[in-house]
Amino acid sequence: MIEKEIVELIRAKDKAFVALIYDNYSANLYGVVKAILRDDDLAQDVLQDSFVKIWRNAEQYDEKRSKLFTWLLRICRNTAIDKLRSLNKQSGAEIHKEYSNVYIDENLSGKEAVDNLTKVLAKLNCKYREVLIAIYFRGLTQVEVSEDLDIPLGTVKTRLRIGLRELKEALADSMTMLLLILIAV
Amino acid sequence: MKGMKIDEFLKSGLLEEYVLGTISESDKAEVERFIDENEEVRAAYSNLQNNLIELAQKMAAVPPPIVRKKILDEVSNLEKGSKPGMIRRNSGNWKWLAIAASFLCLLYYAYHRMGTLSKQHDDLKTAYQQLKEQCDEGIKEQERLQANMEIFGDANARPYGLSNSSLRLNMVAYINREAATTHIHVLNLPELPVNQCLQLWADIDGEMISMDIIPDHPGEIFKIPYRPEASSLNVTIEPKGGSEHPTLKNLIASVTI
Repeated sequence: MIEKEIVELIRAKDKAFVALIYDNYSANLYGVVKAILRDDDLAQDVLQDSFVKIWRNAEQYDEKRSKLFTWLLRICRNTAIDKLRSLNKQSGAEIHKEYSNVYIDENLSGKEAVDNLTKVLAKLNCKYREVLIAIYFRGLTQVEVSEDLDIPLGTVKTRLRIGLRELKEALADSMTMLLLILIAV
Repeated sequence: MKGMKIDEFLKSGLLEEYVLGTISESDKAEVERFIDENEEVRAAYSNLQNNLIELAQKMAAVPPPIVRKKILDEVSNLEKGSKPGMIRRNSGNWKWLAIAASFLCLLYYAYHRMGTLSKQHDDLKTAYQQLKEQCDEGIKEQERLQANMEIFGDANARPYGLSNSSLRLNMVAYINREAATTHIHVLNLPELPVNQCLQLWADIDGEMISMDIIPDHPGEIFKIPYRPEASSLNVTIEPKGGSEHPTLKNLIASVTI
């Protein structure tokens, strides 16, 4: 019901939709942004930036293509990733993270998902694993991976595709896969 | 992706990438074609979106109430067509303070020349002093940030993450082999009992050598001895004041150099 009401407000160009989105979804969005950035102040700035983007781009939301929350989360996630990449660039290099150290709240049952993910990644062929880790844990773009690993861009795309497929086959639930793509950058 | 069967498509991971908007533009159209043309793919897509909501609910964290006000104010400004201006924390204020301080300084000088010694003069002097102090603090903060940038911005400084998600430990070691320096940037620390501390160790030829006690100040950057022969850096929880030898059962983070 709320989603329908929000969409109607968006179509009516009534700015009240922003408050409604905030009151209904901000905690879920902020949790994800915090998990990506691991910094409360940054996460608050990114949430603020994201809501400005939501306001500016509201008319582009297409309810036939995705649920409202999916659309909101894409904006917040992309804004958080952009912020992280810009900070890494400012600091001179990307931060190398151990994939076993993906930040997860203690109260999140996804901790098991991360453990599971760690085991599955370790079993993957190293040429697929290194591409997955470079993209999802070091935050590199496909072009940067190509330069970093000194392999053609087409090979990066193929290895990413096969790596994701093998990962999906090995992971029993889609939640773990989503978690990987969602926050492990 | 062309010619891919439904089963193959569902196993590819492309749908997950599409849900989260991480898919390339070239694959996006194909994924949308699959969704439009296949009931099974549509159902899987809907299911994934529900899983995403469930996952986000598990990760939910309520932002501070001030964020709501900032966002709604910002949107109101945008709607009015005024120049967007994010209400940020006070970074950069020192520049304005410096300008204000300079202006007050000129006023003070002119006033003094006129030989008028009045209460206003004293008030102005006090205000000037206060602004100057704030300005000096701003300059010091800028100098601190510049010093940090010299560490982080040096292309030879390679970062190594030292973190433990369950304990919320997050630090980065910047090792610069050209300058022969190692700096530790403390980003987040676990809350420890008062009788415990975190200690940093370097593994040198199989022996753990103490590098330092980690200061209990998130945001701080501190220098440790540069040990090029170290094969890893390790963090343990130790009794307050540190230990001569690491308590290995309390090893909470490690990174291979």
